[in-house]
Amino acid sequence: MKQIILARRYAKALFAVGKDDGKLEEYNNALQGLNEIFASDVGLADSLTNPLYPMDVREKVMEGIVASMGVDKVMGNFLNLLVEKKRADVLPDIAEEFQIMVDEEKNVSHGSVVSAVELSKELQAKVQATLEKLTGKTVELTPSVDPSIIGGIIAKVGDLELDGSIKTQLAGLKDSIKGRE
Amino acid sequence: MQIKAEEISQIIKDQIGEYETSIDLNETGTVISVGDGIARVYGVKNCMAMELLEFPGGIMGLALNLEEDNVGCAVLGNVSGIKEGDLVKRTGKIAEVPVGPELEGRVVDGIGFPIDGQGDINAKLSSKVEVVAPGVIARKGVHEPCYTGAKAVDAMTPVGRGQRELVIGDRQIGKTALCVDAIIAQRDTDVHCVYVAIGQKKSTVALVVEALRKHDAMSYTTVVAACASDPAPMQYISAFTGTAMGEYFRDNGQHALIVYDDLSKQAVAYRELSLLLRRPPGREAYPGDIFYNHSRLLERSSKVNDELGAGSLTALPIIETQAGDVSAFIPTNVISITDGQVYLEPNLFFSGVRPAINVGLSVSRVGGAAQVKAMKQVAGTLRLDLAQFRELAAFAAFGSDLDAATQAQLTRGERLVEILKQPQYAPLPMEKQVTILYAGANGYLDPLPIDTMADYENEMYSYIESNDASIFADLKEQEEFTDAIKEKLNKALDAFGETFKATKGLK
Repeated sequence: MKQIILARRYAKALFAVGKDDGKLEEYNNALQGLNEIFASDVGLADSLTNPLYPMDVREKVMEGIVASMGVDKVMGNFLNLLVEKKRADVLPDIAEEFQIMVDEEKNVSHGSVVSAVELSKELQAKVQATLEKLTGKTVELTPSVDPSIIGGIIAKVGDLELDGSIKTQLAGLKDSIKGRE
Repeated sequence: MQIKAEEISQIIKDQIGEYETSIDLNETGTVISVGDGIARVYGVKNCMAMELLEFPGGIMGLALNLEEDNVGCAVLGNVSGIKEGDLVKRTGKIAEVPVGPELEGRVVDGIGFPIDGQGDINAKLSSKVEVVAPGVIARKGVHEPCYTGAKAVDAMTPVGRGQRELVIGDRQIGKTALCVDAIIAQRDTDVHCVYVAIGQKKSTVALVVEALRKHDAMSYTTVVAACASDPAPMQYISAFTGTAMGEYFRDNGQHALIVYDDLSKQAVAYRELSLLLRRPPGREAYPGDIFYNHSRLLERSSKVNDELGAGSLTALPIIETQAGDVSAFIPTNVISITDGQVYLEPNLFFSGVRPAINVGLSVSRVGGAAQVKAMKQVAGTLRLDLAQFRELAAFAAFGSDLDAATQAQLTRGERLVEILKQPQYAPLPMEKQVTILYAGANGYLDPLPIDTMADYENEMYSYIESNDASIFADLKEQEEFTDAIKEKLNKALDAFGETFKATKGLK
């Protein structure tokens, strides 16, 4: 289960420091990078969170990561603090919350667009423009392709979802016919 | 009949043609956890309290807890199809149910979907499940009777239109029977009925529906059934659903009667829901707002003023006690909310007094205001007579010699108890009730043996109907024992008494 309340507190603290130092972007990149490594390498996450390993071993692992990533002192301290407080498992949630805070600060939002075939540059720009009009924020789109939606697109920004896929419309048609029986 | 293939194709073709494609813009969230009829949802940022959320497969959920990081949601349907990570859509609608005359004669589930296999309910209107009860200015005093058809209730604990009269007692002593009779008694009136079955066996509900149908009561009745196998949120909300359906009539200047069978089960369902939502438990593990749950529900039953159409919603909530314990949490709560209670007692039930109403403990706080003059004339002394009889009967049990006055009082009391008995599914109209009570109060029954009372009553009705039907008609119209009616009735009762004695071979 997501530990949103907890993650939000840590993210808020780091955000405050980052804003003062003007290093928001840098911290965000480091966090997102670390999040990706976390997601891809189960062993790494385990070595930081598994209570079977002694505390000092876990702290050493994090120190190693901090050194190899070459992040600045504040970020390094933050990551070490997480391990010390036994909250390394919240890191993905913190990364997510931090991203949201940075987005809010810059007045951008991240979205995704799913289509059955790859979208052309113009189309993608058009989708982006529409979404920007809808949300009133700069939208950064991540396109992806999913042939199972048959046609049309599904665009998502935050909690907002625009579903114009053939799959959903067929499901709606099925419901409307079944519903009358 | 054979179905032609092209007919079906044509229907489907039409439906496809009618289907409008629209790109839906949704606010969404994801399921974090699900189980025991409760789902926690992350996202759905602008979700409102009591808003309906849509889960995959068209299952609806009710947003009950809005928390810092998630929305606690009661799933109104089968949770087994919902997984972690599923997309949840906001509908933007506060929970609503269909209302209107189209629902009469139908059996619906806790959120107003038909479950009687008679096709769609094409209700034109829908109404919010939770609405605030009418205010002080919108109301009017309860002043007209809502007959339940039971002599004992209508004479001693009268129910008025817009009143809330609790029916309380142990299991299996005729609580449902009394209320079903009250619904049947509305057959020749303008009162619409709603029967809400909460947490009951489906077989029991089927029996009630069958009984109503057999007595032509289904045509003006809606049955809302949230049975024992339905999830707790459905059982909880069904009471509000039924009330919303009843309110439609009240707000349109009509009259309605709603039976909640029973509110103890609704309280248990709400307790389950609250505990699963991790609300702190209080006495008997019920949540802190269990009293508010019942008070806001029953407060909606009311009589509204003339500007608003003078409609009314009368409520007969049922509470089941455990071994006669009326001082448990839920019974005391509901007793304090309602305008009186009809207390049913196992001892009476098993000694043959049915309906097993304990006259001493049953009260109606509206009282005489909900009785017509004729009823007041005959029932005025009834309660007192019965109380004195009970006291004397305790003494008489010692078997000492009794003086004539005491003897007379005992004779009268025994006969009054006897005529207050009534078979099931046989509610009586007001004019018949007052006639038999008149006969009892004026000593026409005293010379007759007790075991002939039931025969006397039935034969008396048919005698008057065939010999002097104007008595019933006049009573119905004037609602009062005028001297003229009294004279006619005395004559008829004298004459009938003679024939009755003769046919029974009495001296």
